Amino acid sequence: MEKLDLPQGTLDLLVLRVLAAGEMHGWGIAQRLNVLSKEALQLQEGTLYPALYRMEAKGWIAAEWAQSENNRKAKYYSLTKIGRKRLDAEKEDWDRLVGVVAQVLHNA
Amino acid sequence: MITDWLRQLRFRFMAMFRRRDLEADMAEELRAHLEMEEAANRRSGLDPEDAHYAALRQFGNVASIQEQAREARCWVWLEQVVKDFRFAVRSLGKSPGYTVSVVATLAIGIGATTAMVSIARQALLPSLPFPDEGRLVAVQEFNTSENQPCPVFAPRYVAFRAHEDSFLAIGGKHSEQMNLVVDGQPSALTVSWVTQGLLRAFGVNTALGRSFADDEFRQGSEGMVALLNFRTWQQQFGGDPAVIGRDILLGGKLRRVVGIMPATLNSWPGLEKSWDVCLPRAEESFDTVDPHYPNFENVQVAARLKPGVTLQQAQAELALTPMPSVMPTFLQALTPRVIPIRDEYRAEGSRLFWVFLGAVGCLYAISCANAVNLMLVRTVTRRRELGVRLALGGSRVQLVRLLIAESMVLTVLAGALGLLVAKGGYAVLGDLIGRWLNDSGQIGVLDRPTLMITLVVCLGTGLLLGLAPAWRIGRANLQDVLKEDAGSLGDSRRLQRLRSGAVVLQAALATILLIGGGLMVRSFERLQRTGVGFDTSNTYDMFGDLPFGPSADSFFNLGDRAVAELRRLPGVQATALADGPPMRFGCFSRMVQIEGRPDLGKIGCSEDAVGPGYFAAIGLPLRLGRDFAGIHRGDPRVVVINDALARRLFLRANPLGQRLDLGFDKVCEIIGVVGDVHEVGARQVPLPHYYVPFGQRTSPKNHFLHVLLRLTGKPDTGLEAEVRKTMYSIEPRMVTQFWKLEDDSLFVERGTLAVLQVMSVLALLVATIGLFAVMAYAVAQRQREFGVRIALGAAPDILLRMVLRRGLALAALGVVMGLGASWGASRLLASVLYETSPYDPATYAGVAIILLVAAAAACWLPARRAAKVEPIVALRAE
Repeated sequence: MEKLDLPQGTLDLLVLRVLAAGEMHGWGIAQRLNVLSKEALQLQEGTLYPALYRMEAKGWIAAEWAQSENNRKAKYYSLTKIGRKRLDAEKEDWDRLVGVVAQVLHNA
Repeated sequence: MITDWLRQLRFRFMAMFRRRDLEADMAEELRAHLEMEEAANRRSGLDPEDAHYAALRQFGNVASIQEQAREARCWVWLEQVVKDFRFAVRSLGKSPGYTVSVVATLAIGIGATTAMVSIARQALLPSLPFPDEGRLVAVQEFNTSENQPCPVFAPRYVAFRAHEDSFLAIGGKHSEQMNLVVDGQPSALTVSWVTQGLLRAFGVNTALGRSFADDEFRQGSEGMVALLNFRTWQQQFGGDPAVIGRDILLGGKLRRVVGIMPATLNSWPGLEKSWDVCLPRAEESFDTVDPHYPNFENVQVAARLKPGVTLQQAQAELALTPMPSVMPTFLQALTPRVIPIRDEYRAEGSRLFWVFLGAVGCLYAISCANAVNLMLVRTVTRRRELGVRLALGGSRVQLVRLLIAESMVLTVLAGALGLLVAKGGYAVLGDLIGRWLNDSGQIGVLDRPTLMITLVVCLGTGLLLGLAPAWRIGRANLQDVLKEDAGSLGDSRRLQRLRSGAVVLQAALATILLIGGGLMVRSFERLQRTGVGFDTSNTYDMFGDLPFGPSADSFFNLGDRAVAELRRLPGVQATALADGPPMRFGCFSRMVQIEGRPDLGKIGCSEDAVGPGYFAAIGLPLRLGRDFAGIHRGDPRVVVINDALARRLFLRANPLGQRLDLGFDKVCEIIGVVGDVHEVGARQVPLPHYYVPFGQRTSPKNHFLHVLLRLTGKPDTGLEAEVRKTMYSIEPRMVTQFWKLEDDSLFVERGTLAVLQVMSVLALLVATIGLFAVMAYAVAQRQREFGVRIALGAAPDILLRMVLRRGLALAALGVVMGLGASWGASRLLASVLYETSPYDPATYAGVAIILLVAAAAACWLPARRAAKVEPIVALRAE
């Protein structure tokens, strides 16, 4: 199956979802996305970082340096309260969007 | 959403200050990511090198990711701009010569523009401090048979007043000078007698106290109360509110101050000058009581239009006014003009400001052309550096941004320097222009609007100038630039043409400016020669106020003594009695006719009563007949008339011996004819005037006298004190003033002249420097070529002549263009020139010569340098 192109803005949603489960560093988020999507989502890992920085600037996530599992320094991101609220809101929007699109596509 | 955006804003803003930390942070983070990916790859069996590259591939383009990440964090463009500016400053610092010359050139242009624009703004644009000013109009008269404006005479005003249809209120004002004596100290003030209608029309409320009450306008009780101008109140009474309700001694009478007008009335030039004190006057006082001796006072008429009525409608209605029968035959062809009030109060020379703005625009253009030239030169010098930048991946947009940043730094520096220049300009011209515009000292203050103007001008210039080299760079072919051999002969033809074009433009603009200045000089010369009809150099007026009103005998005695004693003072050549200075307004108006010949018509004249030797003292030429022998207190009645009156009444016949009927049963014999005094200012047509001996004044007022003094040269510093002492010793109760007779009306011309002269000199300077720079650069560029030529045997002066010829050719082309443009634009100047044709050939020729000489001088040094080039040095040079 070909790689899917993520529509604009959904990357943020996915990252928030991943972080909802617990704090993680950038590489970890990338791996997790990979696993969760069963390898269908093959994004260039680097593109995560602009998204992460953007969300950090908006206050949705917070970043902190800490020791990683391999005793290396890594920057860990966690969801903030605002981020959590946004996640819920975005998830709702997404579900609604998908529902509407599906309805139109299948019933028109 | 908004809160998100605000948070982002704050984050990005803070990020600007932590740039370096954030960079390190990001680098560390990305590195950590790659390490982890690499480790994972190794774990799945790849060897270290493959693991590394696989990680990189998986990651994506690191550099591009970094760019994107940076943009997510902070305003990259802002950082970029800051970086551009820092680079611009650094690179400018490395070429101080270039920086200084461009900044200096632009400072002159920007400074002059700022100064002129802010002065002009105050002169041309301020709004009048009256409510609903748009509905306020002035009514003037235009004499269609003589094709010039004419004052509104009282009978006409009375007729206009009857037209209430177009106007909510209409009123008249008549001004005269009066002495205000405060604590024994006299000052001369302009007093406006106003009707109730006028105050109603203007609709201004007093700042303190009250306005005039209705009964104060009644005939008989006129002028017993007064309104003070705010400035007069400050200056004369120290702004003390207790002066309201007090009596002041004004014009020999005690009058009660009832109110102070608001300060805003003084912000408008021209308006402020027209009145220091307001006195009420009955409308009926303008009426003609006895048709044999009509009232011909000049009235300034203002009115407020009814809502919905236009200027044209009001004018049409007034035009239907029947001509009053008392108006003389030669004043029948009058039509009224209704104009917006601001046109009446506009400073007389405001038309000139457009000339000024044009001149300063030329200067600005010249300095910009100069700066562009220098910038283009520098761009060419830097083309390799810029080409390399392009090659290394910089976009043209980035280069353009860089160049614009540089030019903006230059213009902002120039702007700062220019403000200093502007301040200097105010100081120099402020005396002339300030006096003319607004005495409340508002000129010279660099207020916020001025600074805003400067900023706009600077940034605008910076943008404009930056685009010139930027455009050049934008079109540059990268390959050619890099391949270019440093030793190639000169720069592209196109660039040369551009620079030559700039030189031509500068020469043309300088020509225009100089021609304008030159024409003004000639006009001013002619004006001075025609002058006011008499000699104002070293002529002084002693004005004595006699509030106690002596008897006729003691009055004349006093006059005799004053004339005799003042004559004895050192430096005084001649003295004479008079009842007023030669060039005042609002003096006595009478109707005269040739005795027994009413068919020839009556002429409205003004009268002066003068003592013997008056004409000689003020330098008024005696054309026919003789002067008065004495004061002539009794018969026979004699009179001296001026040229204008002689022409009107007698045409070419000899008026001597004829008898003039002055009204009031006074018939005089004409014993002399003198030249005209241009009473309302040198540019106006002289009015008919006659002089009676001091003892035969029509309306004897014993309250003041004037003694005119002619000095041999410039007065000693102690002269005024001497005069006062002398007069005090003659009569201690007399209040004395002493001033020089000056033609105020030439003031406008003097101001213009000064401004244009300064700008012309600056323009010439800047244009010459520009020409010099271009020539010098061209010679430097062609060094190799010259070296080759010399090596091949060319004589040095051939080279010199070549360079000179080229420079002069450019300048000549510019001059010709400038002459042509001046020819076309000279119609604009015609309105301010006096008896000088805007196509005056002497001026045009003179300017052309001056500029060509300057151009030759500018080319001389580079030309000599070209001739002295050593062939070896030139050939080796890079």
